[in-house]
Amino acid sequence: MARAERSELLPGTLEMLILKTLSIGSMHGYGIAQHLQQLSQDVLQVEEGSLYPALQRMQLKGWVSSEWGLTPTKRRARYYKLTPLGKKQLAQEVAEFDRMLLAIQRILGTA
Amino acid sequence: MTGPIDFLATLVRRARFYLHRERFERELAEEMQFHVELKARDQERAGMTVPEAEWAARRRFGNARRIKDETGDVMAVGWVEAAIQDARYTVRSLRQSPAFAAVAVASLALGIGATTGVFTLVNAMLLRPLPFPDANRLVLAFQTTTPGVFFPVDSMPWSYEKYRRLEELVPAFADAGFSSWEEYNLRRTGLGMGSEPESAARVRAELVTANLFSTLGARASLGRTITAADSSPSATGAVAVISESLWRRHFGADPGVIGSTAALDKLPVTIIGVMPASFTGIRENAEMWVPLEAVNVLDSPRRREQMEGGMGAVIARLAPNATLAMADAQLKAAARTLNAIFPPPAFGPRNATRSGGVVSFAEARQHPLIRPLLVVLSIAVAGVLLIVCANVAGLLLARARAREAEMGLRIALGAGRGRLARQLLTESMVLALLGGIPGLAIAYGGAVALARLRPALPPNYILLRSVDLLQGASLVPDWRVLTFAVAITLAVGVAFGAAPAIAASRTNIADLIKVAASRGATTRARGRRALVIGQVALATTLLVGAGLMVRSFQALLKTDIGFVPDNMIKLRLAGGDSVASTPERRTEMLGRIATLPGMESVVAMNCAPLEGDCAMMPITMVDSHRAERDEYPPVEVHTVAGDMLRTLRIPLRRGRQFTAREMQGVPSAVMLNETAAHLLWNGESPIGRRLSTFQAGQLSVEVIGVVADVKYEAIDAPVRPAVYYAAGQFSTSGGSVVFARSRGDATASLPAIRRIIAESDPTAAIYEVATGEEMLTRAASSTRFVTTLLSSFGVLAALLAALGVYGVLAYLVSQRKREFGVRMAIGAMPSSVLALVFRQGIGLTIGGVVLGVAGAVAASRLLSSFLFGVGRSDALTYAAVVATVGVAGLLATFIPARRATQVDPVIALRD
Repeated sequence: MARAERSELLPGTLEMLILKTLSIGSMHGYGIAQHLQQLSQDVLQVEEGSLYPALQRMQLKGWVSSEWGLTPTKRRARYYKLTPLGKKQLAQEVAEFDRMLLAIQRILGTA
Repeated sequence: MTGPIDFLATLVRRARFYLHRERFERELAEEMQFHVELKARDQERAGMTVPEAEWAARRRFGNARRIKDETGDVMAVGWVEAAIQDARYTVRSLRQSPAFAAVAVASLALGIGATTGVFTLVNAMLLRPLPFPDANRLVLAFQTTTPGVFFPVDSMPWSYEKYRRLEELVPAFADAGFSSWEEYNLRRTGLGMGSEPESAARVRAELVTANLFSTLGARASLGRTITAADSSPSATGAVAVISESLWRRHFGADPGVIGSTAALDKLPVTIIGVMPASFTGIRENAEMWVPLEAVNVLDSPRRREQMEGGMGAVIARLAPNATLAMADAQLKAAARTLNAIFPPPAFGPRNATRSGGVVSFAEARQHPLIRPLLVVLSIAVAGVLLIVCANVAGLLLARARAREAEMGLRIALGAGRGRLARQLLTESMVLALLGGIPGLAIAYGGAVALARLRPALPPNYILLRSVDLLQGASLVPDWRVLTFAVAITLAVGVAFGAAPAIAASRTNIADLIKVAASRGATTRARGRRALVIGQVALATTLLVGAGLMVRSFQALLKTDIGFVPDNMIKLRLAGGDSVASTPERRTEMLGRIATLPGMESVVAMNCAPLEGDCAMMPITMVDSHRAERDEYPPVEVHTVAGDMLRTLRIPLRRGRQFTAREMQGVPSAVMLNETAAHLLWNGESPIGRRLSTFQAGQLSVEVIGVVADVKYEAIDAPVRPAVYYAAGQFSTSGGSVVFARSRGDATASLPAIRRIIAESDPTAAIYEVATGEEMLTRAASSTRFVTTLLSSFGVLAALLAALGVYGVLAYLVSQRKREFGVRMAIGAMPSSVLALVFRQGIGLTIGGVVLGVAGAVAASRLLSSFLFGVGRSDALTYAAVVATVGVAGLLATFIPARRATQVDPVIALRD
């Protein structure tokens, strides 16, 4: 069960963020890292290497598929793509996250 | 969120990961390298130097090694990884202690192999279930009478006429069939057979009533079985059903055998069915079944010789609500009724009590020696297995002790106790597996080797002739027993290997890392000592059993059997065509055999020594005195054609042999054996006296000689009085046994003998060919079997027990190394240390021997059915075994004792 494996908040959130990133288009690992860094304006300091175990987990669960391809500079790289299952997972996780965020805000709001 | 399909998909992906593990790791490395390079390039563009940029990129990326592991771990299945790791660790640690591994695996292999092999044999030969549906409802009905002439034991078969009345008289029988037996010469006839008559095969046939097959519930594998319609003979003779083995041997397993014709002696039959291999008839060695009623009509001259339609067994199926007790009571009542109708036999004890009984068929078929054999085998095997388990337990205990420090260290480094336990369990399993595989080989090889001994039990009068215990049995190891043996050793491994280690790990870790922990050591040492004493005891008991059997076997072989078996051939001959086998032709044939090169002499007789097939007859007249019915026991009656004394090398005690004239014509002279001479004339010379028996129409004959006693029944049976008639005019329609003695190897002349017989009587069947030595071996085969088994187990047990003694002493010595060092440092002589260790070893050995002797005295009762010429408490055997085990114990003590004296005091103190 997905939820049981995420014992900490961060790993789960990381997966959601990767899914969202890939929903834009397929990318290689470095591209995902760059995207996360730029969009979060360096707030989210993710250890870049930890992308790979997360990507592997998502591949195991079938949310993401990968394929070796060529970069624009003709270098060999592995490109990750969102699967239909992954799209569904993304929608679910975003909805969950929003719900949780709302609940926290409510508590903080009335504190 | 994850359903079963998702789970399966995940499983597939994980499997693929394991299959392409190297590629996965390679590609991941490449990917990560690519990532870092790009990052470094970016940093360069931001102004760093090349080395600075690379370093920054790597730092930002994180610990590559750890990330690789983590990514791999995502795909790995936790317990598989742990198990692989455990297995690798086990193999490594076993390789570091090759002695331990070798001894453990060897002990396990021997124990598992011996257990599995013997139980496979036991299964194959002794516990064969009846191949009929609802076999526990099948019973055998038998008559009883006071033992007398024709039936030396009290149970006897029924006659067909009596059987016919039985069904109304015993309502507890739902259905009852009757089976009589005959031997025939079988020849194929019909299309494709030339005018040349081919030589016949001797077959054992059962003449059965039409309902026997339905009573048993037996079905044919090809064609059909005998039904009611087959009871009356047709124009083409009778029908016949053949066994699977006969079908393969004589008919080439040809499915076209159905409908083909054959001749049983002169009786034409049509084959209508083939029985499956599991069906061997009522007598367990039958090869053909023919309808009794039809044969009685077709072969009436011969069948009329049989009393009341033939003697045979009655097999019945109990009615649904009947019990064995009911049937038995009803049968006794029926027997009374029948005995009133049918007159008592003219021979045998005058006031014989005649009755009857019912017993389960399975029980009736079981030879009385089978149960004691089973018990002896099981106990021997259980003993060996126990010793092996004790050995392995001891080894593991010692090993656990030696690894306490290692365990403590691992716990200190963070290993969970469960993990440790799992690892020890893996070790036990690996050992059990390593032992199980050669164990299988030993089981199969051992079973095959034992099977070559061809054990045969002596004849059981009612149903069976000689019981060939391994007839058609499969020797493939029984997987159930193998699993059981492996499971037992595994359990032992877990109990003795894992438990103490875990228990030890609960004590103070600091203590463990120091090698000084000795709190649990004393109890463990006591436990090991007890184990070893038990091992030595078991070995002693087994060796006593083996010793008693060895002496029995020797006594058996040394018994004076009365004839010389070397360089002699025996074969059975049954002439199918009585016209051809007249006494003249027989004499001529024997003469031709006697003149073969290398042949010394030839004789034909009606029965063979050691095979128990001689006819018994009552004595009717002694001198001029008419013998009373019970005055004399029945005598063996022999017919002799040829030079018996020279061929069988039987010494002549008094008088002379038959002359040539006495050999032909009407019998006028007989020879007696010593027992008969003593029986009838009690020490006085019987030469010239006269007697008569049922043989030769009670003709009065003169005694012309006395020969030495020969054992015709069995090696361990007493000699019976015997009267030898000259074959003279006696026909050989019942078959005869030909003995040929040659100057050199007897088997060399066999082909020539066959040729002469074939030329003289082409339709004769030659069967049961054996050399004299083979006759003797077969007669002793069951004793030899039990002896071989017990001896091998005894030796095995002794070796393992010696190993056990060595093991425990080595362990004790290693424990007290420091103490010995101190002793010798302060001036003790090495010999005193030696004596100390020896005292321990001897104590263990003596303890075990005493216990073992007590056990042997109790258990030897189980062997009583197999012992011959030696008592249960034979002092010589016990003394020899005690001495052997004592010496073995001493030898096993020697090495550890010597090692104790070689302890360098300085090193010992330092440790």
